[in-house]
Amino acid sequence: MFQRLQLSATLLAVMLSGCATNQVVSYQSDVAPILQEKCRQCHIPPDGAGYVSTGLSMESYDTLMRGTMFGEVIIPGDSKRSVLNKLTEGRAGESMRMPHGVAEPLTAEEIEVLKEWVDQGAIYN
Amino acid sequence: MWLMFCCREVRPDGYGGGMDRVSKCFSCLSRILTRSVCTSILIPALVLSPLIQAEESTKVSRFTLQREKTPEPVVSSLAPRKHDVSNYTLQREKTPEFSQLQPRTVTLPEIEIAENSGAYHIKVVAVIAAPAQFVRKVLTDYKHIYRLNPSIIESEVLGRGDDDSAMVRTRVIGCAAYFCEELERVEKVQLLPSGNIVAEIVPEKSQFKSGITYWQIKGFGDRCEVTYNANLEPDIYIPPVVGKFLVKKSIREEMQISFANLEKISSVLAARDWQQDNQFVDRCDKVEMPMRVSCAEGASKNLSVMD
Repeated sequence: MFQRLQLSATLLAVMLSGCATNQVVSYQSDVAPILQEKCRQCHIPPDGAGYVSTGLSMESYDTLMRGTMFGEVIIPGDSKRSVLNKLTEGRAGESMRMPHGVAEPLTAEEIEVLKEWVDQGAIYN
Repeated sequence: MWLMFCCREVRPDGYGGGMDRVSKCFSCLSRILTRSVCTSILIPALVLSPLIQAEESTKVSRFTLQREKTPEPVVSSLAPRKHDVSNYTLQREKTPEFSQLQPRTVTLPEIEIAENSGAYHIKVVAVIAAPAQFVRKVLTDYKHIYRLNPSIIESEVLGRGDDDSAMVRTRVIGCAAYFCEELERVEKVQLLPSGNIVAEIVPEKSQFKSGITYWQIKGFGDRCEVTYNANLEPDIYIPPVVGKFLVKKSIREEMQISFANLEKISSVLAARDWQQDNQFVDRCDKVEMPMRVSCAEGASKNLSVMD
């Protein structure tokens, strides 16, 4: 029985530690700087190439959540179905991977930050 | 009662049972507790969720019908509600830059789904508020095929043939109640001379035993009727009765989302083309006569350069 209690305590500790390491991703301090550096040069009205072709503006949180003229790019809580994550992760083919052109590609950490933020509800925090 | 049931062999003084019996008593109690939680929460949730979702969809339909009665419909009735961030959509409708790009009609698609020995036959007929050429353009724009449905979580053009065909890989996530399954699919998609589209699944590269899809697009003016016919045989285990019911329900929802997006994207492209044409004509009106010929040619070519 003591062995079982020990096992339960260990499992509980692992679960709690898992909860503790699940950090909250902040839009303002984690996500916005990535978008600013890697995406905004094209997705900015009125002349940004990305804005002209899709209507997606990354000027602010509101414009990002508004999405493109074809539909929203973020489904809060669901990075698998969100277009932003599909394109940054290259899930729509390498030729569609964002950012396009001369912009520096996103690092694995930056891709993970965007994924976590969307999965956590894509809130303005 | 559970305590008595579980610990009936353990005497209060510990004799006749020992630590082993006490441990058995606790594990028995925890088992019963777990089962009772499962019975009281999970099973009703599983049983009721389709009903709750069905009720929600009824509400959506009513909402749609109310909109249909309004003199100036601004949103398609096909518009998906599941992933729709309504506030943002409504905000966008109000902004002038998007106001001209909204679908102009409201028509619910007719959807029939039948299952026979693991093969699903799906038929959808819908009137799309966009010219046929733009609907075709959206359906054959394989690079952007993910726009049609959020459930297309991966897509890729593997190659193109000389006969207006392309090998397209998609990975689709389908959820029935709380269970989600990802399905890999490779299709040979071909635009036929008639303007219709046929897509045949390559079974050896897909999680489908077989599958063929046929898109028939009949244009009339600035609208078209799209008939979608598909026979799909997924290569996964689907539990009988409840599983098949949930799969059909899920297919129905996904088809509604796909057709809503098809209408939306096609009409956006049509509106954009119309705007470009007008801008071109405006510019052309200000130049000398000899230029007008090339301007007219340029305007007619806008369709091919609007990417």
